[in-house]
Amino acid sequence: MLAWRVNLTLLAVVLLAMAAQGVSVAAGNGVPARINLHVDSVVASDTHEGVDTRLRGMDKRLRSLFNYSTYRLISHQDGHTECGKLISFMLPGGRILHIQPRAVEGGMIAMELVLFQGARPLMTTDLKLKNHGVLIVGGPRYEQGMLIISIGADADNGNSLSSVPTASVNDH
Amino acid sequence: MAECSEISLMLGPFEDGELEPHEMQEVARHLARCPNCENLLQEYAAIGRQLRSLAAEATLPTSEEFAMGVDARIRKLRLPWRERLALVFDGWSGQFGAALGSMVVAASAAILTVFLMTPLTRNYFNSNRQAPATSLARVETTVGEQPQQLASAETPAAVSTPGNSQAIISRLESNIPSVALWSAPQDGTTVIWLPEQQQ
Repeated sequence: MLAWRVNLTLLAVVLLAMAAQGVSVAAGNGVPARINLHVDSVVASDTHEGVDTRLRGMDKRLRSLFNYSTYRLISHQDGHTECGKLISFMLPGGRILHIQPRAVEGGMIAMELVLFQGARPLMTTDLKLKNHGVLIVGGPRYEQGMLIISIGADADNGNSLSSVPTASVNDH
Repeated sequence: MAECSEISLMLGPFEDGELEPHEMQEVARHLARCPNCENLLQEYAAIGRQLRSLAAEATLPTSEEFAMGVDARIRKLRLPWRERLALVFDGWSGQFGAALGSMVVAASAAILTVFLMTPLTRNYFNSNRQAPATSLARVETTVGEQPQQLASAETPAAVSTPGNSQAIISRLESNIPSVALWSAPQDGTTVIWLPEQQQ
């Protein structure tokens, strides 16, 4: 009986050590505490009004990807979340974008994206986005043009920030 | 005055001295006057002597032999596996058993640690997960080209964008029958295009 008690105690110690090792491994991999997300909603149309001056950082990219003559910024939203925590962005036209980062590995942020039209999901995708990279989702109609959603993500290595997903909106 | 039938029931205990003092006196007074009961008492006494002599002649087992016999009978019974295992470990006397058990537990923990917890293993599994992506459908279009159709209605599309892309897409599902995906060659920006259907 004494031998069994000794074994059980040893097993508990070993399991605790393994758990501690798991935690230290996770910490050693530098898992970021925060994912910063930037969502720009742009309306593209052929009204020959040029590119919105507030899209100065994006105009080259938009022109290289699309052939519209007018690009107008509707809203800019910044959000912060963590791996495993879902964050949602309200988009023009009653659309909602859900983003749930999964992990950060090798300079890429794995995430799930779901775009809703009201309660109806339009698209669901799993992807890995380069840190500081941009993904563009477009196509839905809005007003007289097409809605183009630019989604940027970057991972912070800080660990002292709030764990609550938040999004701030700049409507234009 | 007690009857013979009552006294005869008390003769055995009387012979063994197990009656109360007043009962002993009553039986003794009756025996002094009743030869039948006196004869019966003699018979009881004779039977008792014979039994004691038989017990003395019989060979009873010693306490050690008795214990071993009981132990042997118990061993013949089928025990649950846990108790059998416990008996085996208990049989290993003292520190040898404890040390061996500890070694087994430590070895198991070490194996678990190596195969489940180490970053090397984690990387191995990650590389295995990423491997199928290379065999997935790839889309390479240049700017100005017509985007290719990828997803059909309610059919999941598994796609991956080219090498310089900023995004690797492993799953894309949409109810929209013609979803397009391409990436810009200049900066690798990936585009998912969801054209709305005409009502």
